[in-house]
Amino acid sequence: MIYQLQNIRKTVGSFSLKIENCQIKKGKIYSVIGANGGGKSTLLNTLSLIEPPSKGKVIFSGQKINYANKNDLLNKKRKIGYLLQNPYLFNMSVYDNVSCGLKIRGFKPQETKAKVNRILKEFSLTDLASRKPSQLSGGEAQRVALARTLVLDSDVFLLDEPTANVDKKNIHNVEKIIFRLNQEKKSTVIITTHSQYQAFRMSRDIISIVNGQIKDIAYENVFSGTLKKETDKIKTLALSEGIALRLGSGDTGPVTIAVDPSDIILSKSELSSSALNSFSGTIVRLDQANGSLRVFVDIGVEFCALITHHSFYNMSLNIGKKVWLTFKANSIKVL
Amino acid sequence: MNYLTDGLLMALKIIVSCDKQFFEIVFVSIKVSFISTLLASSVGIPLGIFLAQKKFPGRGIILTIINSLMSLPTVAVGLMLYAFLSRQGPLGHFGLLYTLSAMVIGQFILILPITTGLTISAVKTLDRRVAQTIIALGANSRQRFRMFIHEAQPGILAAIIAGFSRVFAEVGVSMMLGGNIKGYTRNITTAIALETSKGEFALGIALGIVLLTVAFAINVFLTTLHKQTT
Repeated sequence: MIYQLQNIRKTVGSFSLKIENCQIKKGKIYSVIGANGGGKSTLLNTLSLIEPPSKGKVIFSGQKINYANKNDLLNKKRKIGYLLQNPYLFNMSVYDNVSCGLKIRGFKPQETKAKVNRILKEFSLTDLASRKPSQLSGGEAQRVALARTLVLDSDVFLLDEPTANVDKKNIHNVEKIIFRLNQEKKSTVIITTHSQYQAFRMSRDIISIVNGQIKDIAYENVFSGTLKKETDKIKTLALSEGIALRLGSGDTGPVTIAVDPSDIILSKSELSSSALNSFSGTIVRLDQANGSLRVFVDIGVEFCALITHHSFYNMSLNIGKKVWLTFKANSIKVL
Repeated sequence: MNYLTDGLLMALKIIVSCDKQFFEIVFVSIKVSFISTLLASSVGIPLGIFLAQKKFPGRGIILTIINSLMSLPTVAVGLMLYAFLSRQGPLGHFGLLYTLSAMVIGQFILILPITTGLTISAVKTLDRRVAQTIIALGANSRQRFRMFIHEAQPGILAAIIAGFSRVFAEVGVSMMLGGNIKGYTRNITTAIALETSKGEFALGIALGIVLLTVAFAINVFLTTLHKQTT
């Protein structure tokens, strides 16, 4: 675990972040989703170790944070790269902005130069290296701020809406760089985003924050794979051997998809319908969900379907029973 | 009106003739003002950054006192220090009265509230994300201080220029603590006061013109320096 948050309370004005228990695993990418003012940035602020929580314990790399020990705190902060929401660029050139974090953290000049040049190239900022912030567009400024954070070789990257203001073409590139850092350096990445699509594209681990509290995630049945063309209108996504989803939309190539559990029809025998996706499997577990039951079915991979208690008992279902899952091609959301 | 034309002509004559006594006077003005501004900036800028950033009980009162002291009358500083530095005063044994050091101390006290107060304004008006970004990058106290100076550079330079201008043009402290000793503590402003009191208005005006010219040249230099660094 890179982070453990225990009984955290953080009050900012009238807003309060309340986290009973949250664990962040080392080397993974997490997406934090939620509405504006829901607590995403407050959570990141707490994880950045910049501001102590009003109450509770923050454990970083197995050590409880002691906010009074300034030297130790500074050393730990330097293991974190934090991109603020709506970041600020210093009144200096793009090159100096990108290199200033490395200089602050004591990197040698040669190493700094090599790292900065590499990241500028990756972000297509080499030609803008001598420009001042006032000569940059909103998207360019955001990329500079991101480059300044991602060049830091940190154990953890906290990225508060990293692709805000970034155009579509560059969003893909930014995500690619984040993946590279995660893969190469085994850095833990936590990003906040408004876009659920981006959240699921970036990670399988979603933290959903509503009114300062961590809630169940909005999407389930999320899978990644390569979308292949079957006919002009139908594409397939192989989930495991012999199990392939059939979709009506999406570009061929790598994709992540989600199927809303309430769109899945659960039946005891195969339905004769126009739905393109029908699979048989075994109920492996059950869970309560706001007056309904979440039924987890193993069809080779695990799917979750939502069903009322009434239907569940009427159909005499239980763990171990064989069932069929049926859903339409357009119930599959490409993320 | 003759005073003005005579003064202008005399000013040109003094400058062109490279009068030794005149250049000594100008040198004393520049030297004392430069040292007192340097000292006041060395204390006032860090103090200003600290007071702009840190919140603690009594901070509001300190800020109010600093703002009030920005308009401190030069004769008040001169008189107060005179009482301390004169032979009978508590610091009389140092023998500082009527020395350049006494002038520097007086001018330092005079402009410390200016350099501090204007630095506080410069840092407080910075975007609040500056502090957050500096901390997020992992800066220690020394690095934070340097980054604040960099970002608040125009305001801090204005504080230095305002401080220098004040001491370069003041007369009360120089007269009371320096004593206007010819060839030693006489500077441009005390020389103007002396010449005017003697009825030598033309020479007084000539020195006034020189004072303005030197002040203008130094401010142009500092402003150019600022433009080059930003």
